[in-house]
Amino acid sequence: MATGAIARPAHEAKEYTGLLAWLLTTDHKKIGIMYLIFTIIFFFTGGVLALLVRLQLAWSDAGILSQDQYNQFFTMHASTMLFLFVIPVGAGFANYLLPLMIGAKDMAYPRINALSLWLIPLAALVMFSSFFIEGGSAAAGWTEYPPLTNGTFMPGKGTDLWILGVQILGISSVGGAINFLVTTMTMRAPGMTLARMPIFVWMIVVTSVLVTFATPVLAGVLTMLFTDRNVGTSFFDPREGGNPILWQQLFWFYSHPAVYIMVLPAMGIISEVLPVFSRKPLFGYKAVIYAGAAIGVLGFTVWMHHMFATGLSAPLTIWTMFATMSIGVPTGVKMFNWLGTMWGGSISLKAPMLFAVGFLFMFLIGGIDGVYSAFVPVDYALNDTYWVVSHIHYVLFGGSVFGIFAGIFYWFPKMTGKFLNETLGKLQFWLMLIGMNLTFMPMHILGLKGMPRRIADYEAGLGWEYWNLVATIGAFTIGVSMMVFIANFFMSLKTAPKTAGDDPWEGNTLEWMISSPPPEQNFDTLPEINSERPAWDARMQRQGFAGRTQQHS
Amino acid sequence: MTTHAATAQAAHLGEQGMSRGMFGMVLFIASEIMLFGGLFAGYFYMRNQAASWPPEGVHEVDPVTGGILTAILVISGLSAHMGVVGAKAGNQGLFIFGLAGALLLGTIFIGGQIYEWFLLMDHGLTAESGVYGSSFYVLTGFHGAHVIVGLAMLLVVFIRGFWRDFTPKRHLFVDASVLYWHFVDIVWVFLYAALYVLV
Repeated sequence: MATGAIARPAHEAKEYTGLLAWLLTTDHKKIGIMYLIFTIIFFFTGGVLALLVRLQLAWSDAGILSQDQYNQFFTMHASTMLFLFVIPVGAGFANYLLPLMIGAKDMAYPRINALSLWLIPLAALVMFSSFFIEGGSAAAGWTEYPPLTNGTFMPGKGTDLWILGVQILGISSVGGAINFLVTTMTMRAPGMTLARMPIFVWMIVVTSVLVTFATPVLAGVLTMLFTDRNVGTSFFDPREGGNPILWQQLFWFYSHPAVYIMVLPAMGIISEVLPVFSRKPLFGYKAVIYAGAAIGVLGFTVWMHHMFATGLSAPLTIWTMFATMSIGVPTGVKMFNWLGTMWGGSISLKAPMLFAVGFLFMFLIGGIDGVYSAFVPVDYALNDTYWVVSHIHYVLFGGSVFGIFAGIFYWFPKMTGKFLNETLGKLQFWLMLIGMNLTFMPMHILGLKGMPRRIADYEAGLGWEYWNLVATIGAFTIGVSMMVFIANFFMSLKTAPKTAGDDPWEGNTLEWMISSPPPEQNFDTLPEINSERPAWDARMQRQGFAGRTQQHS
Repeated sequence: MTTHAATAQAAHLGEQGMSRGMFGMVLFIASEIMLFGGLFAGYFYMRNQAASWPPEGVHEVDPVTGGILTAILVISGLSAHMGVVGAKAGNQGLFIFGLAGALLLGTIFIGGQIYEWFLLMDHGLTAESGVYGSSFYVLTGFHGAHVIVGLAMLLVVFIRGFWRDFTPKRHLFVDASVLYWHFVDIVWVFLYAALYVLV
């Protein structure tokens, strides 16, 4: 039954060598690595756009970009970072790790998996090609609100190519999410019960549910915008009975859960990293899972907090405000779980751990000012100012990106057998931490001083110049930290000896029980799984301790 | 250290109740439900804010034409179900008859819908006729695209079944495709209710 037409195992495929072995592969590990490489390239692309935007804003009347260029660059910066980097990078980690962590030999649908991967560069080509056509790329911000995006105000084809690109990425995401869910539910090794799965796998499950149920709504509303622009429908045109607020309702119904799609995988990563480098089990394993699931469920109920300024009815506004604040509760639970994990542990501040701890501090700031902004009167005041830009970057850069680098430094030895350079890693961390606070903390102040987001220039004498310059210096500091990473990556890949061994960090999860890099079929024999820390159990047994991780079942 | 053979995994799969392929199709349909859910939400949002529905002066769609289309699609769903019963029982005749019927009726449905579109356009109802026309054409168009995908799947099932590619024990692809076809049917029933009947 299970070997039906759709789920033919990958190893029946012909063996290829060299580049073809990568291009035609259905192996989840190769696909995962390509996901990571593609998405990190897009991360740097989006980063360059951000630096150009910051350069333009460094001084009043800087004159570096034209207004049109500015609008295109900040729009494509956000679109690239969100749709081409932070969402698919989570799928990249999940691709590489999820089958290893549950003791499976591949994903449930290896060929759909390859399709999900290759749709990403295709979508990138579609989106970036718009820079070279008349009118340039999409330029109305990543939220693409009508009426600004209707055919009158945005006549160029850039917006249509943007819609097409995001649609393609949606198909890729949903394909990936279904794959992760089916793999997790049907391919776990014997003994790997749901209550023994690594937290990372759990967070990917929650993320995948969000992707499966939220992304299609975006597909629907994008199609409405596309037909409004090209077929003459009038969904968002009030003159014909439509309503631009409808776009916001449906767009945020997707895009609010999407912020959890962007951060939950990183939370999963640090939930793996923190226990290993604190030499303690995760504090409150089940609480972390329940909190993650609660964040997922609540995430579907609060999208209207992006729309307070549109004049929603009072009961809706109040309800959304309280629902939004209630998300602070499960997030706070997680925070305490992570702190409890570190509490009294023998902490070793290796690079992965530094990034994970950085996540805790930066995400905390982003979380607090998120809850603060959820207050309706505060939101009225801060709506569409730099405060919002600051908040989202503390959550997504301070949260997700730090988590992603924790993951890169943690699993690089598993993927290659080599360590990334520790000193350069620490240098990158400190530059990133200082850079991001220099960039985004001043944006809080700029927001309070009333500087609106998405403006290409500002007048001198409003008290904005100083903090804008600081923010730009910070942004270039982040740029330098990324140079350090690139240098580290290539140097380590080229010159580092293969010293990592199977289990360089004394990890807890199954992937540390096989060679680095893992063999084609992952597991020749499956280890005994009696807890959520099978690798720890085996190590203890090898060293002659009878003790096992306390069971949760 | 005790070890299990990796092949134990295959045996483990059977315990999960639903086969891997079917599970994927169910999740895919769940995401499709959200797609149509979003479109329906948009439709009712606009309908609620309109002063009257249908708005003054537009040509209304005809519930009788829609009713005929509904009947065709529902019968096609029953026919596809017969195909599954045939595949499960190893009854090749019933399988071929059921699938062929579903394919034929599905194709007639698409033809009928295109015909209806042209008829309505002749009466002046186009996608440019305000939100009424917009939502009618986009919703039925979205659904029509799904019918075409469903038909493509049924066609593959039919061709593979014609060459006896399925056995009473091995017919996952039949089950999954027909499940999708049923989903397309059911969405249409809701669409019919919302677009043609509800006043």
